[in-house]
Formats: sequence, C-alpha cells, structure tokens
Amino acid sequence: MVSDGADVTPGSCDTAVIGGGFYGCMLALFLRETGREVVIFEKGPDLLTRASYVNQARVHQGYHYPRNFMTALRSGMNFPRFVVDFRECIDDSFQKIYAIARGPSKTTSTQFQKFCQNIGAPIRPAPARIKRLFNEALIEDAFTVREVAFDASALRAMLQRRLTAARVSIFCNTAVESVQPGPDHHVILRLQDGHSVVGRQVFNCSYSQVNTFLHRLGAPLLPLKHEITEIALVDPPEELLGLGVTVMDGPFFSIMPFPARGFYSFTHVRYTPHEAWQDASDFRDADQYFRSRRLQSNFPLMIRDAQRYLPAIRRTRYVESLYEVKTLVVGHEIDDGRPIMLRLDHGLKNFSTVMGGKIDNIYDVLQALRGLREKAEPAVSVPLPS
Amino acid sequence: MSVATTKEASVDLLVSVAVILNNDGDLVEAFLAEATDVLSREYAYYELLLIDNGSTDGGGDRVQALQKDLPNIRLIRLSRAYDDEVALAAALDNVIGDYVIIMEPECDPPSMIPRLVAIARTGYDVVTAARTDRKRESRLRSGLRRLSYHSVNRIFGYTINPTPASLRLFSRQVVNSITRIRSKSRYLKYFSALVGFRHTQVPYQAIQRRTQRAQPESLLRLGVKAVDLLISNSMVPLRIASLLALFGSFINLLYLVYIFIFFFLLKKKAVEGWLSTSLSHTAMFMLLFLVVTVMSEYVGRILEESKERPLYFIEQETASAVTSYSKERLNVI
Repeated sequence: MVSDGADVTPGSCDTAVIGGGFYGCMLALFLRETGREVVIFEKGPDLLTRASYVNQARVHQGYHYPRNFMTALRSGMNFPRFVVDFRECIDDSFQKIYAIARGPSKTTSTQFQKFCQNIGAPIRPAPARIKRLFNEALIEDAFTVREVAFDASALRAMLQRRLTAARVSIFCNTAVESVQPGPDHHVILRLQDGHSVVGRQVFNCSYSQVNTFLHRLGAPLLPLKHEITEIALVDPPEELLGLGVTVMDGPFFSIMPFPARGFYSFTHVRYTPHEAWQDASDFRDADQYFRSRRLQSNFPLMIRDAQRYLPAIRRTRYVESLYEVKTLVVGHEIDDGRPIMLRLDHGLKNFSTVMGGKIDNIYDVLQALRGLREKAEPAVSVPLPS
Repeated sequence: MSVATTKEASVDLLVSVAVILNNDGDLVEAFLAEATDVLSREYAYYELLLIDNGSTDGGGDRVQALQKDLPNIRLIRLSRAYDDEVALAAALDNVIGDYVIIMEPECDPPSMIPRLVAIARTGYDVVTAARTDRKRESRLRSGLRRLSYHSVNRIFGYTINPTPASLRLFSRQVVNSITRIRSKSRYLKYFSALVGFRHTQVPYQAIQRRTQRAQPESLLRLGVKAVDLLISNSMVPLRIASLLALFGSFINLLYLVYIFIFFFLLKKKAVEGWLSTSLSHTAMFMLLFLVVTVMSEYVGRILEESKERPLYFIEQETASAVTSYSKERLNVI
C-alpha cells in the first residue's frame, strides 16, 4: 500500500520505520519477513529520494578503502551478494579505472595492488590506451578493476514492488517530528501534521536526521559528523565515455556513470564537501540547516583540479549539481572506515536507531539484527494494542 | 588599468593566491583575514594556498584552526624546511587557478590582488609588482645587484627583471610551463624569463605587518646564488673553461716546438732554466685547475640532476571545512 499521506494515518501500528531510504526499506522488508506489520514513514514525496539517491551510486567492492581492512573486507564480501540481489538495478556496462596519484597519495601503486590481492578484489594493469589518458607526471599507475554502479530509480521501483508485495504500508509526505515514550513501553510518533501514531517498536532510519530524533528525545547523541556535499552531474567527453575513473588516495576526484539520470557523477574529495560539522560539539538539525543554505557549485574548482590529472576531462559539459547531507561516524576519517551504527532501545525502550554509510553494507545490519532477535525475541514480544 | 571585476563577471575565473610560510605564524591570521575579505568580495571562485615550509612556530596549526571558519584555504605542510625556491615549486605544482598570485604575507597587501588580475586580463601572462619603497637598500648592495643582473642578462641573452619582487602574478599557461621544469637548481625569476610569454610590471607600495624587519640576505649568499644560477643554467662558464684549456694546450704546443728546435736541432746545452721551468709549470697548473674547478661544478650539477628524486615531500594537506564565505559564522569560534 503506497499512500501520499494526505489523510490516511494509522492511529497505531506494530512496527514503524522512520525514513524510506534504502536502509529503511530493507529493514522494513526484513521485519515483515519475521511476521510483523510494518509501516514506513517517509517525509519526502517518494522512497529513496535523498541520500540513497544523491550519492556516487557506487557499489563498493572494497577498492576504496586501502586504509581500512575491515570495511574493505566486508565490502568485498557483500559485493557479490548485492550484485545478485539487485541485478536489475546494476549498471556494469562501463570499465572502471583506479588511478594512483604520485605526490600526496596515501597509497602507492605497489601497496594498492597488494591490498587488492589481500582482499581478493580483481585488479589488472589498465591497457596502454587508457593509461595514456592520464598525466604521467602526476599519476603513478592505473588499474582496471571490477566495480559497478546502481540505478537509484530502478532500485526505488524494485523496492516499491517488493514492499507492496509484502504488504508493508508506506506513508510518503509524512514527516515524523519526534518520538516520545508511550504507555506499556510503546513509542508515540508525533507527526508534523499534528497527528500521533503509537507503535510497539520503532526504528529510526533517518540517516542525517537520526541525531535530531535523539536530540528531541533527550537521548545521548551518536558520534556523527555531517557534510553538505555536492555531486556534479556531467556529460563527459568522448574519450571518457564508458569509463569510470577514480584517482586515489587523497584529495582527488572520481567520475563514473550515474545510471538514474543517464549522466556521469563527478565528485572531488576536496570540493564535494561544502561544509562540515559534528553533532557532539555543534548540534544542528541537519536537514533544516541544509535547506537554509544557499550553495554555489564547486564544479569550476573540481574541473580545474581534475584536468591536471586527466587532461581529457576538460571538455566535460556541466549539467547540474545534486546536493545532499552526508553523515559519517566520527573517528573514521583517518582510516576512512564506514562502520554501521546499530543502537537498540537507545534513549527509549523499543526505539532503535540504525545509521549506515554505505548502501551495500545493509547485509551486515540485517545479520546483526537477526543475531540479536534470536537472542532477545521473547523479551520484546509485547502484545499488540487493539 | 581601470578594469572593474565584478563578482558576476568573474564567474568563470578562478584566482589562486599562494603564500610560503617561513615561521610567519604571528602574522598569518591578519593576512588571511584580509586576503579572504578581498578575495570573497571580488571573486566567485578563489583559493588561498599556504605552503608551510617546515615552520617551527606553530603557524601551520594556526592555519588549521582558521580553516574551520575561513573558506577556501588549503594548507600543504612540507616534510621539512626546504629552500624557498623549492617551496615555490610546491606552490605552483598545487594551485589550480587560472591566475596565480604569489605573495609574502609580511609585506604584500592583498588589496593589490584585484589590480594584478585586472591587468593580466588585459592580455598579460606575467605581472610583476615592483616596490617603490627601496630606500633601505645600501648603495653598494644596489650597485652589486644591478651589476650582477646586468652580467647575467648579457650571458643568458634574455632579460631577468632586476627589481626584487615577491608579489607576482602568473597565468595558468605560465604556471603549466614552469611546473614542467623539474630542475633541482631553481630560481623562479629566471624560469619566468626563460618560459617567455607577455610580461608587464606595476609599481606598488609594500606594507609592514611586522615591526621588526627581517635581515636582508648577506651579500655572500647572494653571490653564491648568482654563481649557482649561472652555472646551472648557462654553458658560458664551461665554454670559457674550454677556451682556457685550448689556450693552455696551444702555449704548451709552442713550448714543445721551442724545446725541439733548440735542444734537438741546434744541440744547445741546457743547464740553467729554473725560472722558465717553474713559470711554465705554475702557469699551466693554474689554467688546469681553473678548468677542473669549472668542470667539477658542472659535474656536481649533473650528479644532482641525474638522481631522480622528488623536489620535496608533502607531510600533510588540509582544506577548509567550508567552501562558502559567511560573515556571521566568523564570529562563532
């Protein structure tokens, strides 16, 4: 059941998921499989319109994390599964190139090759035709790797079908304002339109907003850092068509297909983040703050830096920029890790928070939940309110 | 010169300002605030690149603290203190702007930036700002400087601007050309003359951010620099050495003929002759060692260049947490 949330609001539900992003949808499907009635509350007009849509659309195989073995290894293990489960949303029609920069790169080409072998990720030297595209003075070596992109629109359609088939209720345009303790360890969801919903168990999958809910609840905040990011959508020149290029490992850039729009996404480590703040020292309602900002595209900076490494990129045509808040767990900037935060009964009984940074790490969350459920199921089997 | 650059007109323009920090921690704050003010007012896109050349006064940390609030500041910390010219190479290697302005925080006013850019946009690739306040320089110093520039220019055959300037603008084309020169012996002034392009000069009044002025470089060091510049970039000393060697061998040849004629053909007895022997020895050895000196200087430089080492190593690179400038956030620390 998909509703635009105009007038249909349940007064109570069994399990509620706040946030109809990729994690929220997958979690809803998982919970539904365990036999619960599940409702998704999404404040946007549709599922997967925010961070699940506005990102590089990269399905990680681990190449990206030469400084965090754990994240790399988990990515490598989740990758084949994700590619099979979401086959119809995968774009593997392009050749993916990882180029290692000389100069301030944190990885050398020898180290990178060794690392890929260690995590079992396929890697071959790039053909001479491709190596010639790079500025030899700044790029040490280039490799062909196996990496794919996902089509966020197709992913949305697919999840919508699966949710409908599983009879998960979806309320779009329905913003949850805050959560409050209710009777019998139930959780009351206060909606922006003034209504309230009582849930037996509530999952907070609102990504950049998870701390906003915790903040309003008076619960301890998760150690999160937010960045306002810009993804430039571009039309690359002929030489770069059919290629995805990532320059590693430092303040460099990446250009790869963005299947949902038929363009290429162009991002730069230095210029994609426009602003950053940490909730611990400087709490802000991330989404509200993001909407209040007037942003000027950093594309002119990105392209000027990138063309030093990849001269052909100069003739890239700029289409538009997508902006979004990117949320990260603090303490992993140095090794670049992307752990997932899962907090059960955090700040409130039967209110759990899930914050994941990478789309293909969903399996880790589900596995962790499965493990917990097997242990704790009897304790949370509270009867449904009639 | 009255080209007005409005922010709207400069949307497709990126201006980079590069600064080398040599223990300038005391004035970096004031400089960055002023430069940011000028740049954000004039340009939609700009960057301030600071090269921390192994400063030990905590200047780098101060910049990192400022990066929380001031936008578009990049800091590159070199692994140790390198020669200034190497630090300049690091700056030119890393800037991304269409126009690059090199400044010294101690004496260059950021208010000159729009003027330099406006002049460059009328069709120049190198704009040098020449200081009008040169009264501090002694007559001897200024005379020697002019003389050495004069001779160096004669030898190279193209003109190196003799005015001591730290404030300069290069176009992207010039930066790209200069960064392709990976020579170990570096002298930016010489490189900018070497690569050519259209040059011009403007006068400017330097400011004084520090009450105590730095000691000018000693004449000896300047002399060593001039010799290094000459030997690293010119064949002339080597050619003089080979002419000397040629001259010496010719004199020796004459002497040989003399010996042959007088002692073998005319059968003259030779007993005395200490003076002539010593004279010829000393004169020839003098020539020989002169030639060896020049040659060893060149061999040394060949050795230096043949070691394919990077010019410098970067310890760390950081960038501002914000890319857009908002005044109200500046007051929140």
